[in-house]
Amino acid sequence: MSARAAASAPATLGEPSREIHLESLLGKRVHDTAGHSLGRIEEIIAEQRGVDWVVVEVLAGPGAMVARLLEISALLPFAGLLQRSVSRHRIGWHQLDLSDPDHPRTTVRHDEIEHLASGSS
Amino acid sequence: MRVHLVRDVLDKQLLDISGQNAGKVDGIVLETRPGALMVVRYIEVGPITLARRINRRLGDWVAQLDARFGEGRGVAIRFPFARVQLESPSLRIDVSAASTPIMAFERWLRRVVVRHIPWS
Amino acid sequence: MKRLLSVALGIVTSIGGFLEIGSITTAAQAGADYRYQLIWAVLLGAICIALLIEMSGRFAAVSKHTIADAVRERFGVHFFLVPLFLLCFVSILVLAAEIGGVAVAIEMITGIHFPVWALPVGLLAWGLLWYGTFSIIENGITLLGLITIAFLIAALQLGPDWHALVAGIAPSLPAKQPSHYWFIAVSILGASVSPYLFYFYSAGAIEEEWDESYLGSNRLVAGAGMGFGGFLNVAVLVVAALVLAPRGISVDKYQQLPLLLSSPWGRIGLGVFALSLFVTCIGATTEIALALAYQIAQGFGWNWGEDLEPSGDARFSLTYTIVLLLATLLVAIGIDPLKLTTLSMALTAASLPVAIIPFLVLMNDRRYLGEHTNGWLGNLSILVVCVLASVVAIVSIPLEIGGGS
Repeated sequence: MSARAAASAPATLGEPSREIHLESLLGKRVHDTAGHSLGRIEEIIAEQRGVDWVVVEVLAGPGAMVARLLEISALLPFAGLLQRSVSRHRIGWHQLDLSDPDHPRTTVRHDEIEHLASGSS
Repeated sequence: MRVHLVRDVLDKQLLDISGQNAGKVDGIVLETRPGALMVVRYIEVGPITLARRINRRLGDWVAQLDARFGEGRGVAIRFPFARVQLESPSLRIDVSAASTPIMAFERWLRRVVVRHIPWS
Repeated sequence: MKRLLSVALGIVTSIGGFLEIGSITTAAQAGADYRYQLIWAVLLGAICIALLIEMSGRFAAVSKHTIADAVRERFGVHFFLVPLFLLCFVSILVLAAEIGGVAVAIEMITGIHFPVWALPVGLLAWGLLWYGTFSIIENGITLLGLITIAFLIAALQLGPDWHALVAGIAPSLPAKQPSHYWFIAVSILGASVSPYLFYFYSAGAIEEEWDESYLGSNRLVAGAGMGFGGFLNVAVLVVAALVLAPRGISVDKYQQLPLLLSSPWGRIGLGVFALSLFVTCIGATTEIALALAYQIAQGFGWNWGEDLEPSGDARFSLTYTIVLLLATLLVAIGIDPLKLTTLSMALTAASLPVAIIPFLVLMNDRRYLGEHTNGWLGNLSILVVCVLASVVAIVSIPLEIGGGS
């Protein structure tokens, strides 16, 4: 499925705005400036500012399929170790470039991005 | 206040102003403008959005089918996100579902099928 | 007092609702072919379904979510739809088997071939759902299912070999036809661990607005209801071991089923068997059709509820109408109800992981259950049983169909 990025009528004056479907971003692989993969988009976090909700962070991880398998493995005793081996990244909005929604990139190198302990968000 | 859009909004139950089920949140529309922050603009409900998530062509086909049901149909049903109340575990919209296209298919079934079954 | 009454009613209806065409047929086949050797499978199935029923009630009472609803919310639309399609397919086959069971029960009394009865039976089930209420189905029909206690009486009257019976509690390898043995074992599991039961139960708990104060009664209803239901299922197996096995009758025609009771009790036995089959299968028919409609309506966020008028939830009501129609057609074209039952029970076993694993993940999610999440033992035992049952089913279905034995 390709990300929908159709131009639509701007809500306010100024540069034209674009719509992106959040669902189409999910699962997209995020790369850093050096082409290093940070994982797939799993979660998008918004914050209320005035009447609007603005996107402040994106969480990238192993993707839905692997996440589901990990959840199943967590049903078994002592499988918490598997969960810990997964790497997730918290990418701030200012570090993200979504100008091509099919190929999300960060504006910084991967070592400048917060690495998350698994399970936290 | 922060919200996890996938965990807390997408695919969650939507209730209308009177507490009636009004479908699931099938899609979320973000709006972006160069140099500006990305804003959560709408939630989308209904089969068109749902079908698009599975397959773009399937979505277009559902939209064409839906368009036959009258004026204003054939497009995804949207609500401004700013007017959605986040009441875990559900979300609530400030209108009656009966007044929106969400219930159009339900109303059509009532009119065309259920009404013709005796004692219904 | 009211709570006590509802607990008692819950237990009684669970007992009455335990047996249906699947559990009767598979237990009868087990008893006929392997005498008491497969009692372990019946007991294992009863324990698993008791655990799962308890979980689904706990889930509804604590999280205020039904299972289908939560699966969609927690895992998103793709992980909801794929299992939904698979489960719908299997459930419609099971539903057809139940409708076939009712039709066969009428054939036993009237002598008129079963396909003729498919449409009237489908219409009867539909009428109960369309015009009836949840309590008519839950308390009325399943209460009548208590007639299946007849199997217990027959088993005791015939006098089983208690030593052999107790020995059957421990799993053992068969002396003959191992693939057939395992096929029946997983079919028994598929018949008792029916996913529709816990989808139905959790929707009922939401309709009755359970909260955490119901957790104790929920445990009691699940344990006692399914426990006694399991006993009745063992009784069917025992009767088959005493009536069919000595005559070398292997249940491969549905016309042989009434022998279970007609052999000890004559014409009255035939009547009691036909009535048992009729009542339990019509009960299961309504429950499966409802469970499917619940699953679809809850997953898509529609209005749903057996106590609403159909005009209040047209999409929900028409869903069970369509499902019933499809299953009725399968019977009307004359597909053999016994073959359909055996196949659909094995397919249910094969699809168990798809139905149960997402549910288990939910049962371990603190955001839904707080401190009431599952313990590791419950997780592990259900997981092992459903994965093993599925693997054995997938291996043995082609062998059984291809081998013809």
